[in-house]
Amino acid sequence: MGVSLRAGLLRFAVLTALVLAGDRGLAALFDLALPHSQFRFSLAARGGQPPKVLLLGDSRAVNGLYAPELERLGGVPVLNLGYEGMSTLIAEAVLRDYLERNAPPRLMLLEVSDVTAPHTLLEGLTCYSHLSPALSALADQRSPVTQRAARLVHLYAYNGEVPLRALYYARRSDQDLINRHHIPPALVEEARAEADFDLPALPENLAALGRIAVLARERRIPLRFIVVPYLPEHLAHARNWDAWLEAIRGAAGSDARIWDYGHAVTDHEQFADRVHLNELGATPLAARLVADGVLAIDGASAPE
Amino acid sequence: MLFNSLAFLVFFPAFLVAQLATRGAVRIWLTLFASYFFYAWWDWRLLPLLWFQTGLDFFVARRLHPMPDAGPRRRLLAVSLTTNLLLLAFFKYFHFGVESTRGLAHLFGFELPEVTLAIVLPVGISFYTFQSMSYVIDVYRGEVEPEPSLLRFAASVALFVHLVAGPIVRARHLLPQLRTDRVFDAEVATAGFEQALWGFFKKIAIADSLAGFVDARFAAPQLQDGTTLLLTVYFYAIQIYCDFSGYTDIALGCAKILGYDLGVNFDRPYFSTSFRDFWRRWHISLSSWLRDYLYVSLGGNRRGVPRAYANLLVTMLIGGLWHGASWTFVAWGGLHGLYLVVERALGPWLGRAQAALSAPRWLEKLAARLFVFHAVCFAWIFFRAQSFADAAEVIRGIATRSELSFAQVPNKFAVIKIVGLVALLVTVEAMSFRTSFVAHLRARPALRFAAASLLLWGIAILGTFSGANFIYFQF
Repeated sequence: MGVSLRAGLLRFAVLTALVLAGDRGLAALFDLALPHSQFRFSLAARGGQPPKVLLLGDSRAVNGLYAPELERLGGVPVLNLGYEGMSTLIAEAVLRDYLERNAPPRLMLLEVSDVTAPHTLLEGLTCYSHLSPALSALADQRSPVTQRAARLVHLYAYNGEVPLRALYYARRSDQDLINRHHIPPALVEEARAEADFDLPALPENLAALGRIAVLARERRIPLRFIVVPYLPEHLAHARNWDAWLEAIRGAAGSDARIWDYGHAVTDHEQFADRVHLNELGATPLAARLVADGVLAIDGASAPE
Repeated sequence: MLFNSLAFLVFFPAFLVAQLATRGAVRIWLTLFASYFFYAWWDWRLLPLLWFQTGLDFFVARRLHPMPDAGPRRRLLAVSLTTNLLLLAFFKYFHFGVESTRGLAHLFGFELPEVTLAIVLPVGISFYTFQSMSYVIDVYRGEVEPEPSLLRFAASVALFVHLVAGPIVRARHLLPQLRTDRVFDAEVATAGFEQALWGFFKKIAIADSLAGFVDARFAAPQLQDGTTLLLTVYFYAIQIYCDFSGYTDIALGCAKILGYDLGVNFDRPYFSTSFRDFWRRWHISLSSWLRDYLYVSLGGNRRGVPRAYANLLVTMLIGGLWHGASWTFVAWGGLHGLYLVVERALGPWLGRAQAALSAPRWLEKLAARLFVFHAVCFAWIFFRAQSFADAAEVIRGIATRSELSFAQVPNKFAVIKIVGLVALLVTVEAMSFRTSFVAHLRARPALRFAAASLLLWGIAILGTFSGANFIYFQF
């Protein structure tokens, strides 16, 4: 072996060692810092949250259930634990981990259109795997490649938008996270002309919905199921709206009530796109929810 | 096989070890076999086309060289060029030609039948065809001796590091390197490794992170507000640069590790202060190919000013068409041709205006860079848009729907991440102009280790591992 080749191999070995050591060291630092963020999943993972109203769901819950306004109007502390791409299956894991470390919520609101969501958020939540056993178990089962990659390269767990948000919200609350733009008129027109469609309900999400209902019942936590508004021009093309709600009701339990606000907003200015409200829409909706008693905490021991 | 795939991470070290273990003809056989394997990983059925073009140009060049008479030499050259161009035309431009003809006939009131063939575009055909053609032309012009070994010529055409998306390496540059065993040099290999790493970072962390945002906006420009569209155009300019120059850096870096020097293909093009300067820095191997084999062959600037302008326009129009079978690519090339012509025509006037203004040199440079960058971005709209209607929608949106409000921009976190990465790119490229900084970095192994580690950690945290293809593969 030539001198030059030996030198090359040595440099490569040093670099490999340095990269691996740095990977482990930096990831360990991030692991330590992550629970100290004010980001929603960090709050949940850190534990010690007092009894609150807990909101769960996907991006429709984030933009439809505006925590600061609900808190102000309802007079109860509210934590929105929903997030973009959070399927019901993920919501179940997040909830199980939350209940392990925090006081039982005074009330839970589950935005049930997350039954349509695939489980893409799982990969984004990889950085919380070491803090959340239920989430980690689900990720092992549903996204094994990402989990293996993150075990090989620890920093890979911090690849994605979720860790960036945890960093951004290191010192301030993320509960005012909401869409602030409004839907372009061209998109309303496109929604008006779109083809009819069926809203999906993934079987594993429906099963998770049922398990969440059982868990709430066991822990004696009031649980309400809610659907926040869709753009009416879009929803008009959903062929199976009633059957879809029925499927959700069936999964949640025969006595479950779905608080259906799917058609509740008609003003385009209050939407960010076809399926999301913006701040302008979520604020009056919060008032309506409070007025309708969705947030009423009456000591009920069973989910409605 | 993609550079940004796990397969390549296994393939390349295995090839490097095998290359180090072999010598002479065995090494060339190994290189050739590995290159065909690399190509076949994508689609083995198109290998015979590569073999045919390689064989044709090898034998034509061998026959050309000793021929004394100009007439038969020209005819033989024409055989090679026509065959190469017909193959390229068939595989790349067949449907484009048919659709354009049908469109033209429709304008004159004729309806021609629809013709559709299931043609697979062979990856890299534009690159290896141009490379092989330049060899025959060089032999015809007497600038290169014909290569006596088919094995070596085939290896030079197929060398996997440049086969599918360039750079377009001239035979006169690469063939001599294949005549001697490349010696492993730790210094050169380290520089190559660093270049490849920077290429991976540009591709995986920057270009692929931009791709999602850009693709979604260009898919429905009518739904976007002006600010978002403006950002999209800027982002596309960065995406295509990082994608292609990233690919090139990986290719050149890997070549260096193997002991080959394939030249330079990008030289910080967005720092250009003129359009001429831009084309000296962007896809250098293609622009110099077009200059040497097309512009010069058309007469260059030897036949008067109007003819030089026409030659410039034709060269850039064909350069545009080389990129893809669509009129939007032709428009992109035409715009650049127009920029070059106008710049050349206004050159003396601009010089006088500059002198009269007597602005500080740095301000002049900055203004020129910003102007060139924005004109290049404008041309990119046509390059990226699926149709002229989409391009017009993007331009209309920017001009009429701009509230200049960040609130309307979707995916703000993605945007912030992208802006951070672009800032890093600009900083690195700006610093690289300072030779003292580069020398300082090169002289300190600790800094080089730190920079390489940071890039790898950066890829792990910021990379988009979608396995996305390189944009230039389609060309």
